[in-house]
Amino acid sequence: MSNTDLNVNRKSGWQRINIFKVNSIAPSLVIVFILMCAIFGGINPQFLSFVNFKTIISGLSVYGMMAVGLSFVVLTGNFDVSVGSVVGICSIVMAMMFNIEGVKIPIAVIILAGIALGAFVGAINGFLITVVGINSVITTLGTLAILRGVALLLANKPALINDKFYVSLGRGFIAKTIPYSFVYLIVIFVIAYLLLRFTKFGRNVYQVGSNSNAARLAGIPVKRTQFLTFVVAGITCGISAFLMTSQAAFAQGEFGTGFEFTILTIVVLGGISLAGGRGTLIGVAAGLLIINSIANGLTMIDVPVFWREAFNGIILIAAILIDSIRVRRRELLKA
Amino acid sequence: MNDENSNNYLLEMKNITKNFPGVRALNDVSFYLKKGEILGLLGENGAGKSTLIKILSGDYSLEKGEIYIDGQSQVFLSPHESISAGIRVIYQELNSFDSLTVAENIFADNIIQNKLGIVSWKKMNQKSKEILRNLGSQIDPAEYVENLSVGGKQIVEIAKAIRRKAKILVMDEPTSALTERDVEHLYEIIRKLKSDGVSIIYISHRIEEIFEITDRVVVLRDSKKVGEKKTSDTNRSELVHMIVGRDLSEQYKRREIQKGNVVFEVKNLSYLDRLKDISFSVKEGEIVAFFGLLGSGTHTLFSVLFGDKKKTVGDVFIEGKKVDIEHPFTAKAFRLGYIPYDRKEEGIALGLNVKQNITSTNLENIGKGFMLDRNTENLHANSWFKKLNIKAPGIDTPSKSLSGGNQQKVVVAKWLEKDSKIFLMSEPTRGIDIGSKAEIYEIAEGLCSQGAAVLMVSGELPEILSVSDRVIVMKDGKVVKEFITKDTSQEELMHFATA
Repeated sequence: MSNTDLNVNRKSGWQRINIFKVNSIAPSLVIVFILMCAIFGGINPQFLSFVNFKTIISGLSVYGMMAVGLSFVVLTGNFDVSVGSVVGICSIVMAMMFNIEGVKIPIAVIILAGIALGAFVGAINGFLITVVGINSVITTLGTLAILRGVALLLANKPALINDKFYVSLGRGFIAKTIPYSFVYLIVIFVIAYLLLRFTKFGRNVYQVGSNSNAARLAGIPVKRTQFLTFVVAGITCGISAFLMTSQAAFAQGEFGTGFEFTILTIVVLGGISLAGGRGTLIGVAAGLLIINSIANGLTMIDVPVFWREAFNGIILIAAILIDSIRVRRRELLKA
Repeated sequence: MNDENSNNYLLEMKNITKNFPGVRALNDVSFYLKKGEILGLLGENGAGKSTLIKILSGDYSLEKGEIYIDGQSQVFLSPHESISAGIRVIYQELNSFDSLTVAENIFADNIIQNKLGIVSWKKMNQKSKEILRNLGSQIDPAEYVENLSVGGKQIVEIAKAIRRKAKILVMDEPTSALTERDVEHLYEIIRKLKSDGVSIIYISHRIEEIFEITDRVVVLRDSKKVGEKKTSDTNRSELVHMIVGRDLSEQYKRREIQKGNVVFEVKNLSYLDRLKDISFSVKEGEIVAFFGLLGSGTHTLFSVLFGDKKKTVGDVFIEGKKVDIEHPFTAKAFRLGYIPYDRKEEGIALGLNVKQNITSTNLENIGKGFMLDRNTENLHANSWFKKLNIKAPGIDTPSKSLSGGNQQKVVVAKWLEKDSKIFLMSEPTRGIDIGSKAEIYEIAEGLCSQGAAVLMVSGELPEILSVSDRVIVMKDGKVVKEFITKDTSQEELMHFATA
């Protein structure tokens, strides 16, 4: 269950389920999810319909991919608030590549260019944070503003994408039930999971996040590892931008605005500790499902939009509270 | 005897029991403390000392048992209530505010203001000065705490407790980071406090200190009280016996090990103004101790040698070849291993398990390319886990649940895993129990007998004398003198370290 094999005390059944314990976040979240379904479904049975299930599944991917990327960054003890703007700039650049007069750029090139741009922006963040040594929140807050500015500058009006095939990549379904986008998400999750669990880079991410001093003194490339996590985050933003633009069939400078808020909520709710070094992607997947279902469910039961906004804030604070209680318990155990 | 009259007791803790998930940390422990008494609290790591103190300080809730202060039953729900009742704990890891001044620290919870609500610096500095001078300390109240030595910080903590009119002072391993001179100063302060009627609970691993300073001792083992004696009625071997529950040859006796060629040599090394012109060499099979008072540069030397700080000038030779170590990564490649001074901050990742810590130095050899081979990893980790006799359920056990001694073994295992040959050990037995200490020494010896070289910084002279082949005494960033261990004495080493 746990990505880092932390669960030695193999307790069975209910004993393991405690949201304040890192090892049992995923089971706890499953219970939260079931309760939530019961409440929403009780108020509006449509919530539990197959059509609505499809809606929820289709809506997971953009946030989900970004949450995977951000998880890497947070696991090393850093933070990236620029993710929304990175999606914005990648989207607009990709859409513009469709609109160059007299030139038809292959779709594969456009997609790869978008992802490469995301990786490049991630590399800039990573460089400023690891080599120059500026705090990650401050750095990415800066790039958040800069990139948003550039994106708005590039797109004074929405850039349309008139390419049926490209659009079908985002909107299509397998056998009319499973969205392509969901398949992409699963692929990304699996790759990221394997990366964290079965590669040296993945182990280094946990080492650095758990104790960066000890990691440095064990000869682990701390800065390189942190740098790479920002590149990973950038890549997932690029892929998300591809998905957003193909689903929308256009892009505008505002794409991705405010996403960092939701993504952070997903990551923290999923049990990736803000202190670094703790948490698994399985938890993040559960967090993603819950956040998306809540957004959907609140709409289904006709909660006014301003209450929905406020509710998101409450969930974020609750998630961070749970994280800090977990950290405190850990500190107690240290003694 | 009058002692049995509980009216004389300033503090009495009765039948204290405390459970943590899966562990009984304290089992029906009772003890008392009289006014102006210094009580030694002894026990191996994990014996229950810290838990007992944390219940007294209000950090842990009282599950079962009673606490009386001046005969009044007390329940401490928070550290604040405990402090109000006159109890003050000075922890091993000092909780001072480093970026504030001495006076601000002393008055941290009660800044002196004038009628307008403006901080009265003059009054605060003056009162702080009074308290400090009363303790026989010359520390300037306006100095920033970060500029003080560990010993100085400790005195500030004591001053803070005095200012709050603490009746009971708990000192947890107060000397673990102190040099012998600071220790002497601390003893003077403790005696002064005692004569002023303050009671002290003194926790230490160093039995010499118990005889030096305490009136009475309580020994805990395996969560229970196993002994209570007047210090004058007991002796070292009896206490050791009570602590470990078995006879332990008092001083560690080392084997003779064949020395080989010079493997590690340092010539004219300097680092900023903190290390000046240091030269020495170490042979295969040798244990060389570095001794110096705080600020002598011994710890800095090790972090420079390991490439964590970049040397300014000088040459380092490994097996005769000149090497340039600019980063721990390079050091590792040259088969250097480093056991840092601060285990929890630099030695071990407490959030990760035993296995992950052991293999952290050697990931490049576990699996091909960028893949991690989990079978190889388990194999490697398990082998060290068994060889070093690490006491834990298994290699998947979280490091944080290990005792200090076993954590230290994990740190050693990290470098064995990397096949290191030259070991830099900064206070390798700091804050660990007697049994684990001996095991660490045995490991160091075992390494030497296989041709490794061990460089060790230690502040404990008995340890240096019993473990090392040679001693290099440092002062103010310079090497003062080098000794063959068997030809020197504590007095001589101390003399050169302070001269």
